[in-house]
Amino acid sequence: MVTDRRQVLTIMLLLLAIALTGCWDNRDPRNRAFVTALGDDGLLEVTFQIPAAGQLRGSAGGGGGKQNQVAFTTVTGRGENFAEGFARAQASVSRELYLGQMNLLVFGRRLVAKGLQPLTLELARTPEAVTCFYAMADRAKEALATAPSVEPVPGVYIRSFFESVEVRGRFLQTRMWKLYRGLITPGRDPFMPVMETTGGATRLAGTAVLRGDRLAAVLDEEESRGLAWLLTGTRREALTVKVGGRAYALRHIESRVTTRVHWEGNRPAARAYVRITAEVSAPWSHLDSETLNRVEAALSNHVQEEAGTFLKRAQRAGSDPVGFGARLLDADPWRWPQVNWDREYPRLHLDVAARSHIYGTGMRK
Amino acid sequence: MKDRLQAGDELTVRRFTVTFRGGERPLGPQQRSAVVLYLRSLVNSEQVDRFMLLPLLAGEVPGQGNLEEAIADRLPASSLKRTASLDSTVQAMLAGEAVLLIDDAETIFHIAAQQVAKRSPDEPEAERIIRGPKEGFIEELDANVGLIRRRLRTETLRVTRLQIGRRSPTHVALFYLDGVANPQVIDTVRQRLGAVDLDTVPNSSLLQALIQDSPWTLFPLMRISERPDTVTRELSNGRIVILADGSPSALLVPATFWDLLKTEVDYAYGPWVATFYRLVRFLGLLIGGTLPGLYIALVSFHPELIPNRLSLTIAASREGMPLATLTEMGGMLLVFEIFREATLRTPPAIGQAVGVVAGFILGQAAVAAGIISDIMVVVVALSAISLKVVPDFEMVMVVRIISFGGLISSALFGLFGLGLWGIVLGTHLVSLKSFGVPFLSPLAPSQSGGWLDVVIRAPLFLLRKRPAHLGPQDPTRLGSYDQPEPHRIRPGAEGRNTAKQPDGKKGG
Amino acid sequence: MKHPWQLGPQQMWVWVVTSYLGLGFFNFPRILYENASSSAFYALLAGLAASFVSIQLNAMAAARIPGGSLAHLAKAALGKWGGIAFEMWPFTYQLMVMMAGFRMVADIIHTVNLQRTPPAALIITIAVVVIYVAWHGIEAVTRMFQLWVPVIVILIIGSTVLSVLNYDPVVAMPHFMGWNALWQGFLHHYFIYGGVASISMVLAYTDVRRALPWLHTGLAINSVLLLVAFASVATTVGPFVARDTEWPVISALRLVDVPGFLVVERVGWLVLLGYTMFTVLFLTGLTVVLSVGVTHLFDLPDEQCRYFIAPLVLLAAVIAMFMPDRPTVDQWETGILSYGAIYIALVKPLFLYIVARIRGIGPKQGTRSSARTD
Repeated sequence: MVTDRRQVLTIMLLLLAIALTGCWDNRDPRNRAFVTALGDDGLLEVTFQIPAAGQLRGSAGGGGGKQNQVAFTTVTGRGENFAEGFARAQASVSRELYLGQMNLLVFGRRLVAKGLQPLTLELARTPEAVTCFYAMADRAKEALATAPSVEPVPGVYIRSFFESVEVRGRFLQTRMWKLYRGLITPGRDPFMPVMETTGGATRLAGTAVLRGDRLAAVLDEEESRGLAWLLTGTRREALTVKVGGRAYALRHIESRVTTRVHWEGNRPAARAYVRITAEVSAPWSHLDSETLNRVEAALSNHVQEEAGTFLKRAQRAGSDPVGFGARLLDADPWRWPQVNWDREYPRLHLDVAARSHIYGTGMRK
Repeated sequence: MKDRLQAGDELTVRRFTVTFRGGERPLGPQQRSAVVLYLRSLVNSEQVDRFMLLPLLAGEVPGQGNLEEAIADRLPASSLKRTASLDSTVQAMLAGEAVLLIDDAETIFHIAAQQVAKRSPDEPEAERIIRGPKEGFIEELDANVGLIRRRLRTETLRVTRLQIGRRSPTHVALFYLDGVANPQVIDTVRQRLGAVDLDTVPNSSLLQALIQDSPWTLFPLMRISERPDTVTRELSNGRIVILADGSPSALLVPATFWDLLKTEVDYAYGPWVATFYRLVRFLGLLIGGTLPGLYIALVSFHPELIPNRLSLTIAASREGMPLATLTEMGGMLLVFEIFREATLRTPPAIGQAVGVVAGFILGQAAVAAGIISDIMVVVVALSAISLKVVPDFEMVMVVRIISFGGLISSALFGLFGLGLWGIVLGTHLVSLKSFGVPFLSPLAPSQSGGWLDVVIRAPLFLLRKRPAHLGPQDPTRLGSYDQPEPHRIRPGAEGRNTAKQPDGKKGG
Repeated sequence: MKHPWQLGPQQMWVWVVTSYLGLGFFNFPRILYENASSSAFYALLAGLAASFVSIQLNAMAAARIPGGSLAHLAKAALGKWGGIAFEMWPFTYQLMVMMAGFRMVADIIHTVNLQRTPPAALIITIAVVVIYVAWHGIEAVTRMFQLWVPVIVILIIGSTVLSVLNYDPVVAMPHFMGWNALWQGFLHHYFIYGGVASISMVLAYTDVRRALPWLHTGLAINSVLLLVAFASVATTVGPFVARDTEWPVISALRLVDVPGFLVVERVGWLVLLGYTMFTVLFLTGLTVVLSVGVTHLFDLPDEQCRYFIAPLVLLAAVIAMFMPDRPTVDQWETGILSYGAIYIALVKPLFLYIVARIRGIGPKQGTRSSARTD
């Protein structure tokens, strides 16, 4: 008897629940427009890149699609802010713009120069945007409209481009959360890779460093490498070191960075320790121990130079993407309020100590 | 008698006269008329001729004093029974016995001369294994009892026979190992079987429905096997087995959810192989039960969870499809079930062709015509195929129904709905009981070491104890595991030496 | 003397772990950082110590009345109506925790997963599921916990360990920023205390001496989990992001930087889902505890608690549904829950213990059923 009543009650309640609800969030993929990339040019202009699923099908099936078929469209909307731009852009597409598959966020240069804060505060409410890559371009709309050569959709192209090892060494893999972290954390500034569109092709050129939420400087390739050395997670395929007129090709295995902050009298100073592990990839012949030491020293030197170049540039621009300030705050929260970091940073004593370890010195005899 | 039975032609009546040679009696040879009655369809008439008619007709029956004793002495059948009432005689005839009535005698004799169309104990279709015994139960209870007894040569094997069936009494045998099975469970089973007031028992599954704990539940609360070796193992684990006459399926109680996923093969191979395939079975169950719902949830609610390119592929495959995802999935699943039923009903000779037409050609054509998306076909086919790894046939259908529930709940709330459905189902499962034993037993409530023969199949020397959740009287199954060290065998001389000394005391 | 609505000591730790995970595990580094800033780590330690003390105090008080609950003790110590009035407040508190739980789950699901589904629909659906599960009794609930807990604990530890590999003592071992910050952080352990408070209520109807080791084991597991989560958050996102992110543990999980490994980006999302499932289970457990609590309060047989399940859940759900989503309401709720938690977890059992001591209520003097009328 109890069982009967229980069953009936349960079924009734479940039916009630079903009756009360509807499929609010049920959206068929047919009705979604998967946005693979989003560009914001400031100036009230938001661009969305949408792959045309129907055309992708042909190329995925093999043989159906043409090689140079453009499999995406871009939609642009203008508005006072992101939400309004989004709404305007939405009004011109029949399907719902869906940001969950977004790979790439491109900020227009003018937007970055003006300040990112308003946009990022809006995007922070979009949980999908946390893991996507971001970059700066002269004009986001153009960058998004350029068709890449390999992938049918540029958003996917950029993503796989970013994830390739060689690129990660030169330009740091940047996900939106790092941007947020840089914007939120005191004593740490964000940075972003710069996308360049020339002759119908997209490539990465240099890194932009910010001061607060504004553009401070655009680093060239060497300075970008210097920044990459100082942030963990870099990995580069090829390094070349010259010792005694001979070039040694090295393969980078990993590097670890620790930053220490200390006080020189009343002023803070910081030092970054970089430990690099690398492997010899050429020449093939065996290295003796003296040569090995010299190669190691040369590698350390090389890294110190690159990092030093970067640091000088960054200090001039007043931007701290490595986060020396945040380190100081963590290590010494009591003295942090007394330090005027913005004024202190450009004349901070910063240095880099690199130590390298090389193995795989050749075939053992 | 003819009126009672209304059997017409089937009732064979053979009248004859028995001559008694009177011993001390002055009457001399005495003649009595007698009649043998039986139902031709049930009785082997040759046996009746040999064991009933021949001894009585061959000559005079030496009748000292008691005629009935004389006849009983004369009939060379071990199954000779005597009754006095007409009712039991009718019952006996319906059970396939031949009846002998003698004029003026109060006793009615019957001998068992059943002739039943028997099948040989072939390997059951549903539980085939590659390695191991290839016998299966048949429809005759006595033969089945024999199959079990031959494997369990112990006096502690108790076989209790009951008769169930108000209108047509059917023999039901209850097996358990005395001193192993839990007496309370035995008691419960007995009481429940005794309370069954069914009029006919054509199949043991009817008993299953009537004696299981929760009549409303979707899940089968008993394990069914047609394999004597499985039954023997479970008997020695402390389970109770119910076999009904006329049905080859043995009911194994108490059963747990995990038992429904076990096969005899698990014990035929080494622990690694068995564990791997057991995990594969779990995976298949999981995929079969959740994939339809999961697909809906991922595609319609949370496409951000799908890897980038895959999501574009799915979007591409959904492009231009006329039906909504839910409709398409639900419809496909239903159509698949229709195919399955249709293939089951068609004779095997053309079943293959029907299957090909239904599954392959129709699916292909539907995709080509743009009615359903190709990924949907993949998902439905995958979920259907994964379920086939589940050994219990009823369980497969149950999980299929469950997957419909998952489909609906994920259509409402996406993955969250699927999770809630999981909670509801889980609650139902944990509160189920099979003869007092919780259905998810060695895991929830958890018994120490219970998972060794549930999630994995540990090596047998680790499974020394009988399953504790069954509450066996004697908990130990494997006494000690002391493997004697092997003799050290040296190639060459040593080998020859041992060959010379067959007692093998040398070495080691 | 185990009846179907009584929790066994072995199942206790499952319950403890779940109640911790169910409320606030993912949210709680943020709460700590928000209130204690750099002292967060010490606040965490203080809170954990307080939880252990709370269990001990509850056990001490409950040991005064073997076989009875704290409600029975309160009635024995303060008289029938005094006891009921005294125990009414914890009861109301639990109801508020349940409301907060409903609001929280609906909020997460609404903001993260199903943006278009109205929270009210989510709340009512969860309520229905909670009623269904609770109806099956405490035995079924704990068995569900037993099935889930190992999976979730392994999942959480497995995924957080990835980020703790980059553990940095300078960041995760912050500095003492003064007693006020510490107190604020300690105070805002409220969700943790929500767990503790419910434990104390469960404690009320088990054999305390046997349950105690299990409770401590459960708490120890929780401590490890929380410390790991804390370290993971501190290492991956840092205190400032943690303070600013709604679900820092999720962010931490999401941000574990494994190149090319797409699943990890999405793991956080799935863990979030598992967490909501946990909260549903936690709410169920709380429902059972509450309904049994009602029977204890009014000296009814335990079995009758079933009649209270649906009304209690629906009450909490309906209030949660219509509670205005205003910052002031949140502030009030937080204040009541945090101060109330300290009161229930520490002050109440201590007070009861002292009163019972003074009035001489204890296992030696009183008979076993001095307070139990059923």
